[in-house]
Amino acid sequence: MTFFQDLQRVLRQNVREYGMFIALFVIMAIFTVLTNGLFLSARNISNLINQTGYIAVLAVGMTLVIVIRHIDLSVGFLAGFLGAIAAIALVQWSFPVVAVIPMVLVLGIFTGLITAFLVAYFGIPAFVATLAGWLIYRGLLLQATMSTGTIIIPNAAFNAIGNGYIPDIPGFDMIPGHALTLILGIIAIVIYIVSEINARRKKQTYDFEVLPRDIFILKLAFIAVVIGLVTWVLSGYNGLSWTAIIVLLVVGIYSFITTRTVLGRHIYAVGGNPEAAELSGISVKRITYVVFGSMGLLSALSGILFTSRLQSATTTAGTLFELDAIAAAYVGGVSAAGGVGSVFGSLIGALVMGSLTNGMNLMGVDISVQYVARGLVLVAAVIFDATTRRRGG
Amino acid sequence: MSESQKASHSIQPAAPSVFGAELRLWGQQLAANYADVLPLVIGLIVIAVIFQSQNQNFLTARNFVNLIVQMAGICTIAYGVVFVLLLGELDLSVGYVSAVAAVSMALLLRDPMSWPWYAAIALVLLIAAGIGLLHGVIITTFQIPSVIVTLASLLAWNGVVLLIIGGNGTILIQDPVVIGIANYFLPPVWGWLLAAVIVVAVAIRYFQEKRAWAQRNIPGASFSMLLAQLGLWAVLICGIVYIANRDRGVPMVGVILLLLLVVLSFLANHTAFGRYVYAVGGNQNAAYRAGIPVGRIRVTVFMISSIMASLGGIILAARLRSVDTAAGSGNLLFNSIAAAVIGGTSLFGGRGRVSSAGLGALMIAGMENGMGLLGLSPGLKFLITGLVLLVAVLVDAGMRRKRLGQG
Amino acid sequence: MEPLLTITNLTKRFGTLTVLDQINLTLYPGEVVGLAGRSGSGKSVLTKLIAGLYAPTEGEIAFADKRLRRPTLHYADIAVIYQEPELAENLDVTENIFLGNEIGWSPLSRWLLVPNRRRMDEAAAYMMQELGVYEVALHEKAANLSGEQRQLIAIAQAMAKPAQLVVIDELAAALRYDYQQQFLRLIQNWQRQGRAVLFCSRNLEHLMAATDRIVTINHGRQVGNHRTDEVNREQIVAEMVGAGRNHLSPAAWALDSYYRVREQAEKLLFRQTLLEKDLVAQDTLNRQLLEQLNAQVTALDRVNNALQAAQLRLLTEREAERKHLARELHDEVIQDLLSVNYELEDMEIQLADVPVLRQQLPYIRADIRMLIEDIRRICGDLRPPTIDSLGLGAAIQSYSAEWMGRTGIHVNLDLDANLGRLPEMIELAIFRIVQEGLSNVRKHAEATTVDISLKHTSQRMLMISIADNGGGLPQSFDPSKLSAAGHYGLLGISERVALMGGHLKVQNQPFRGAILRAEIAHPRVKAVIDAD
Repeated sequence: MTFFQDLQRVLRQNVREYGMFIALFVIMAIFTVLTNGLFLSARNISNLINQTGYIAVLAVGMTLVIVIRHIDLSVGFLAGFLGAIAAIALVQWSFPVVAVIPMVLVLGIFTGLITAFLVAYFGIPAFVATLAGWLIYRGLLLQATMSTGTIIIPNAAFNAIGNGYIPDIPGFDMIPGHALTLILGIIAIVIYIVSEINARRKKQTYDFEVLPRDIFILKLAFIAVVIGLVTWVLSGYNGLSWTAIIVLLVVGIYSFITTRTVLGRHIYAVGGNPEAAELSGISVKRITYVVFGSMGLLSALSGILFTSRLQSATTTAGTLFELDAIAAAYVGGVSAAGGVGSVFGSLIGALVMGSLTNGMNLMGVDISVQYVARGLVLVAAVIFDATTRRRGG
Repeated sequence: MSESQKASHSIQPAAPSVFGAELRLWGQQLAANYADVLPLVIGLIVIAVIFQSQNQNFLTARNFVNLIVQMAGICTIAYGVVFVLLLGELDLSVGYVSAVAAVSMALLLRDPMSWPWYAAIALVLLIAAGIGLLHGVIITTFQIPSVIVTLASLLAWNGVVLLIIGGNGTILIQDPVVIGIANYFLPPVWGWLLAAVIVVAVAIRYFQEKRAWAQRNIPGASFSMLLAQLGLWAVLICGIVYIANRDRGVPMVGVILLLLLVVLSFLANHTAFGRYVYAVGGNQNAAYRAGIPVGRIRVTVFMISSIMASLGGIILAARLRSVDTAAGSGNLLFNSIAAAVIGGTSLFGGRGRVSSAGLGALMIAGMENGMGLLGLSPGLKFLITGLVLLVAVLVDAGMRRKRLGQG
Repeated sequence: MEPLLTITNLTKRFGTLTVLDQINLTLYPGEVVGLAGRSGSGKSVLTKLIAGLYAPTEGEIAFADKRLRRPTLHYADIAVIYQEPELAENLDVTENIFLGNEIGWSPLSRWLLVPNRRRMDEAAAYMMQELGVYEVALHEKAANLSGEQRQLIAIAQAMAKPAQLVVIDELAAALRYDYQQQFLRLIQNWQRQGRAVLFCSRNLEHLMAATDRIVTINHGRQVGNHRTDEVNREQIVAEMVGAGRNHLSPAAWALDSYYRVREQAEKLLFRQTLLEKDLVAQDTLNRQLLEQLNAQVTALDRVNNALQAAQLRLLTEREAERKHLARELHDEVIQDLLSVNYELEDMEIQLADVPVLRQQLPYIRADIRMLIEDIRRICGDLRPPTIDSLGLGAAIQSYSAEWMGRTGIHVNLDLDANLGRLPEMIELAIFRIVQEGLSNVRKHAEATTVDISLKHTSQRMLMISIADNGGGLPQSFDPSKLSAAGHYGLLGISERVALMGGHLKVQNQPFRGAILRAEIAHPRVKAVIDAD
């Protein structure tokens, strides 16, 4: 079997897994061409990451919600509302940042649990419960910002979350650009390669099917180059932003929880077959509470990121976030049939959605066309999911 | 022996009076027939009391007529939503589909096109049918949750509306017939004539039903019971016409709503198609095995939903005499879904009535109207609407739980 | 004749698992073909392939010369009765039976058909009757039906279709024995109407009874195809379990006998239900009888109560009468006699000189005094003179003393010191009991001593006991036959005790005569309690 035949076969078999990378690659390439390279500029990549942050965080939570066969339409305005609470706490009540952030996060968990209560206890379909939430949080957001309109936040520490960058290592001038970013990038590449090789070896000892050796190397090289390129580009600008660090942390923690812990296994078990899970002793209700609670928490985080990025709370904050988050999750390989989807995939999905918005904004595309395009991408992602799912099963 | 028989006879309780038994039977039948409407009626009364106590203008003839005109759009859309909910699906795109319809109609009527009103409306309905077809086909061929598909198309149709209107801002509608849909009022005589026709129709319907039950040897409502119900209807209808006539008269949209109600109720309750919709909503497998083309039913229902949404959009545009970029935005989608759900249509499929959606729409419109009269902030309006939707859904879930508990 | 259904080289795989392998089958109109196989042999999958729920992997199914692809194509011509029926839970029985197959008036298209509920109800009722079902209400929602009723509705669905082919997947065990038999008859009816039937089952009894031909499959592979009248059960079983014809494993026979036993068990169960029905009928009859009996007993009780009340009244009145009589005798007759006596005394003094009178008068006066004594005794018997003035204790004392003197039987009295005065009724009753008791002793016991005791056993109870040292009660003594035996004395005692709400015991004492014990409740007169 030749290398290309192998490649073709692997691609066909894993089209679900690689589809999002291909989509991201295609979208980036198209926008790079259409904007004469402006899209791939250091400044824009940095911007893109910061813009994607608040969607990526939501997408991570939404992935788990969709995995357990629910959906949450309220996250957008919930994020907006909680962002407004943060702004009010900072500006009108003069709370310190260190108090505001935990407070808002706890509030987020609490609102998530309310949704979970409606869904798990009363058995209300999640889309309706969260549709009501959509209205309620939108109303609350408008109420909160009614008297003042846009609330401008003059707090530098808070605003750094969405706009700041990690500091460079002082006196490290041998390398041009942002040294710490580069070092982090190299560490990431090394960790990735080592863990992949370990995983492959482990699989081989259990006689699982693994990628052919040459394709495996190609994959490692490709990912290493992508990470290297991104860090290189970023280090040429201001380095890694705090948003990027937060998002990576969230993705890392959630990846760990979903793939390495019992809780994660239980979440996927519930998504795969709720009855079977219930029969095997998993409390579906408890899992529902955990997942919606985490969704609330991440909505709060998203609200903080967005408010901090705009340095203000606005009356329309959070509009259509839920759509981007859902789309990101689908692009990232979540299945509407439940039980399938990875946190890392949703990060890529969020990048796809972010790139789409960012690229169209760069090109000055009218908002109406942007709506249509985002809608179409969501439909395309879901259709992609449905067709590949059926071929698999 | 004879002694003991006498004794046992004397032990039996005295038979209740005939009148008492009749009354109790009435009560039971009324409760059985209108059990799911009762919360709604109570809700309506509560709303009326609250708003009237806050603002003297709520319970006036003028505001009543306004209410009918205001609820028309929501009600029409909700009629379509009922069908989608009966399947156990959801159509989130109705708001912007109605906007697409309104905008296209406005453009067709306007200068460069200058189509006659009937042609414009016909084309718009055709477009809407096409949109519904698209939704249905995507949902059925790829077997994707309708929530997601219609969520995406919500965004897309919003984009389309913005795209079509473009820089125009607001498109005025000048066609008198179209404007008349929402702004024409029947002369008093016609109103009374309409009332008479409705009462007679209801009477015929009741007695037909009575006969049918009798033929099936099932003890139905007693004759006096029928007369009482009929009297109730007559009072209600004449009351509505009387109040409307004290102001501008019965609005044309009221007649349209009634016609749509009759047609759609007939479709849902008295045709094979309607039975299939209920069957698919109740148990898709059973319907499929019985040879019902489930996919085509689903597509058709989404077409109905889109067509009703477009009709709603036309009514809304006619009321405002114009279309702008805000068409279809805001609460429209939620109000129409809430109207259907509050009307007792179950989100779990297979249970609900078109007519109840009318009552639900009346309730929602009443709240909008009242909150408008009180001058509540938009934030509070969202909040209250959301809470009302939540309550309706909770009631639905509770009733479902009770049913399952019984069954 | 043209075959109705032709299955050629049909293969179905799920992933790598081959469920059906190269199945060939032809079915002619009016033919009943049985498909025998164990569970898991692929029968259900074949059913679903014919129904069109699955698409074949290889090979083809042709129905009336048309190739079947997707299910909706021939749904009107092929009726399928699934092993686990699916019903629309929110629709009622009639609607479910005619789902997709409504009777009615159609203006434009099939969808706009207006179902005629009345005709559908009639047809449904007819079909239910044909199945032998009477207990399903046609307007009951499917959600409220039992598993058996759902299966029956699934059968009715197949009956409602004008289908040329009926496919039956494993006549469910949910059906009762008599419904199963009814269903087998129904299959024969279909056959007579010219419909083809494919009958999948594990139950050989059913297959042998209903089919023309039996096809056996094992592990998805077609093993045999025989005319039913040319094959025996052993061969079919052998093919079903895949063993060679000559060496059947015991397991195979276990399988067949299992089904036979089950068949018999079902028959037994059916009989049992019949018996149970009989029992229930018997039971209701019994219950009715019991109720009548109860009513009669109640009536008797009432009559008895009335009788007792009457008797009490009678006794009271009798006592009053006696009292009255005693007073009359005492106050009138004795006084008259006394005055006669005095007059005689006067006469004796005045007529002292008439010798005949002087001789006779003292005798007459002595006679009169004896007469007075006799009447006094009668008065005493009628109404103890002491009881009204001195109370029960004194009355008993004086009576027993008098009785002792009269009979010569010694009486030991042991009376409660705190007896006090009791209500007249009770005092009289006790006195009479003592009276009757003593006369009993005199009549029957041949005793020399009688012990009478009257004691409070508690605040509210009085115990009278009369014990003698005579011959005791005879062996044949039966308290319930007192009147028949002529023991009117004891009978009177027992009646009195019963009227006072007390209870009576008559028995032999060890080594002595009989003892009579009566315990009577009494309300104490308040004044006496205060005096205590």
